[in-house]
Amino acid sequence: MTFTALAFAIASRCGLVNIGAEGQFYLGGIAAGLVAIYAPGLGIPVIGGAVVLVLAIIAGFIAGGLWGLIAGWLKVSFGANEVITTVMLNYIASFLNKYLIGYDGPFYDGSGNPQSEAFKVSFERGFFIQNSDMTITIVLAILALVFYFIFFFKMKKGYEMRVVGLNSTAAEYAGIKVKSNALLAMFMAGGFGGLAGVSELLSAQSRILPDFSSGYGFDGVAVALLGQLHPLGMGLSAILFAVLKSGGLAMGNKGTISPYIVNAIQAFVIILVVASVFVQDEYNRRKLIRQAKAPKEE
Amino acid sequence: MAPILEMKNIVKQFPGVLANDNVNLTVEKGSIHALMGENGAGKSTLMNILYGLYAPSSGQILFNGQEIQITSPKHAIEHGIGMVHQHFMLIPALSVIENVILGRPENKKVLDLKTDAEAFVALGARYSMKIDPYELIENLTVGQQQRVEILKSIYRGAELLILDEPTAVLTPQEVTELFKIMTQLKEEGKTIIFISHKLKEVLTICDTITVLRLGKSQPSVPSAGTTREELAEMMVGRKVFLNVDKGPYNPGESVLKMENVFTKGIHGALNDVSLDIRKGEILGIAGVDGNGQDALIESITGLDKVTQGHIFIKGNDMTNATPRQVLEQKVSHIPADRHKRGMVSTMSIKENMILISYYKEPYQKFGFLNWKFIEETSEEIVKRFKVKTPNIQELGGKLSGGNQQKMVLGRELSRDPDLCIAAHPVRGLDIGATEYVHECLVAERDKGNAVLLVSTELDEVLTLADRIAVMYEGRIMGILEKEEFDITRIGMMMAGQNQ
Repeated sequence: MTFTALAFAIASRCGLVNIGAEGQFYLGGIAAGLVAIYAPGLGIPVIGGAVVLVLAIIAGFIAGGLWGLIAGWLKVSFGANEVITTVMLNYIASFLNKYLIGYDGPFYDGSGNPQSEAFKVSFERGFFIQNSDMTITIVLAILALVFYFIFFFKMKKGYEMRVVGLNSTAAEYAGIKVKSNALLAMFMAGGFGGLAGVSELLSAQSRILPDFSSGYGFDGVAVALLGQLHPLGMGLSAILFAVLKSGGLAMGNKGTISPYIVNAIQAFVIILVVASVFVQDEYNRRKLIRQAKAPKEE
Repeated sequence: MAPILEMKNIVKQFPGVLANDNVNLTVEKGSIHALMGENGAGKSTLMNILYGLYAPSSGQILFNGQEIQITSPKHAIEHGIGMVHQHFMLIPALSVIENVILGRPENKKVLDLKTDAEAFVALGARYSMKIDPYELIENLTVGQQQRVEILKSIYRGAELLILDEPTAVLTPQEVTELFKIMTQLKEEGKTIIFISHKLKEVLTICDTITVLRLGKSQPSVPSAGTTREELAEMMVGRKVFLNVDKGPYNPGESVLKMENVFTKGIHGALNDVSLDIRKGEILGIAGVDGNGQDALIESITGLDKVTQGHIFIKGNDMTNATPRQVLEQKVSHIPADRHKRGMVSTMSIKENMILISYYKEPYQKFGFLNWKFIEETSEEIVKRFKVKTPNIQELGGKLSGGNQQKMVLGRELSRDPDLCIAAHPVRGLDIGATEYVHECLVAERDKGNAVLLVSTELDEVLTLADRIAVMYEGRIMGILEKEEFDITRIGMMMAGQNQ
């Protein structure tokens, strides 16, 4: 979820609304999945699967990135609203996945169920904590957040992108290329959406299945907003949402409590966060009034 | 004569701002009374209270000796108070007469336009104004629209007329026309409140002057015997130097040359513009707003495509260069709309300071921004250009208008430009900040740099410029040398006439 949150956050920083993490998730997952299935058979040396996994990660990033780039390209060439195009691309991605592993698809395993062959390699479980489901992706997620912070607040390109996002006419005036920044932002955003797909598939699944994303792309939007696009905030809110999501599933399995109670809790969290913004505004307003009443020197 | 209007101890409290603080205003019947003050001094608030748009927090309004409560503009009109807003309240797609009778309570179910039209034309004739009552507002010039607004108020029975910055949009000739009408109205016993910040105009036309400063009213003074310096001092609260000291005029070689430039432009196109700016001079661009000034600047700075012609900067062909290529020719640009172009309000001051240069060393190295260096430079610019702020982490948008402009100015001038393009550099600034910005621009000129100054304030251009180019509908009507500066001639050119 950290990754899909980043997919939203990166685009946001450049003034774009990327609702397409869901689609980018699929594309990244598919690409990584295919690498995990077929690459070992192509004579690529399997050193504990590590090389293949790195390839899978790269493939996932690029596939998701290109998927994001489509929306970016439509935006800068035709002015197509990226909210709409990314949502449309989500459907396309989901159905593309269903086709690829469906009965007529090229990657159907012939088992009678719409699914691909099993992955030859995947992330090892029990990373850091033994016997847990935790994999190396937690490290990737933290690295991604660190990258996000450094990129936007320490690097020239990230600064450029933020100027474009906050005031594109000022960016133009300063000689910053608005369009190429938008394209790059959508590619990076899509890439992180793709990484989300990679980490889900290669950690929690053993083969590509239809609808393998249970709404992670959309959860990412909530996580990013809850974290107020701040790297630390997004990390924490991703943990919160992930705990709620898997906790909800566990509760559902026990059968006594509806797993949907989790959705209600998430909604509460979001409402409270939004409300806190209002409280903050009100506080600032009162502070201003107090300052104005105090004797002023100009 | 008895006062027609007395506003006593008016207080208006907005959330966070005390806009009017015990303001007193007494206006004699049959006089022209000026209301002056810097931006944010509370002029508009006071007038909006009088016109019924705001309710005062406390205070008293006496009209013709009687205390009244004005709760809406309709109410104000019934009492005989009319207002001509800075941005006219006319509907462009309707005819003159339709606008005049709009919202009048005596309108019948079926409109009788003809009677009103005749009466309105007759009224216009009294002030030697020819008006076609059936012409659409959108076909009128700005000056004509303003006259319709004034007549509309008179027609609807205004005894007291509020004119909010009426000269801001007019050519000098139109201003003369307006003043004629105002004088005639005064002779007929009408009263006018004239809101302006132009010292000269106020001293020419008004009888009495009330200055507002920081929401408080200063005691009124008669305009006879008051000097511009005294007025400016009342507005700012300290001594102000209205005249700028310039060094001798020694123009050097050409810095910017435009040859027969045409644009298609979004903001009014350029039509065969040729001009040339030399080192050590300020070229002023005069003209009524919207006559191609924006297109001129955008074509030079690479923001707008040139369809024909050539632009040379220091001899290099920069026609249709990218904005960055132009900026790299040591061109500084203080944009007309600082919020839109010049700064990012939601970024901190230090982030705004590197807007143009962030990609250069030592601002960045290997793709990483060098915050330590950036902070040092920003501190220095803030100090040198007297930007008032608690620290450089403050968001640009939190600064006052004057300080925002100083921030932009500081960033642009500290890049040591050869050519400085300043578009409306003092728009919306108070006298103190204006004085400072002007000093900086003249200092650039005296250092031997070229300055292109675009302004709609003719006085500003006349004081600062060494030569003046007048623009009208995307064309340069002519370029005048210093000895040819003549308000009448410039005014004619601003209106598109050239003898």
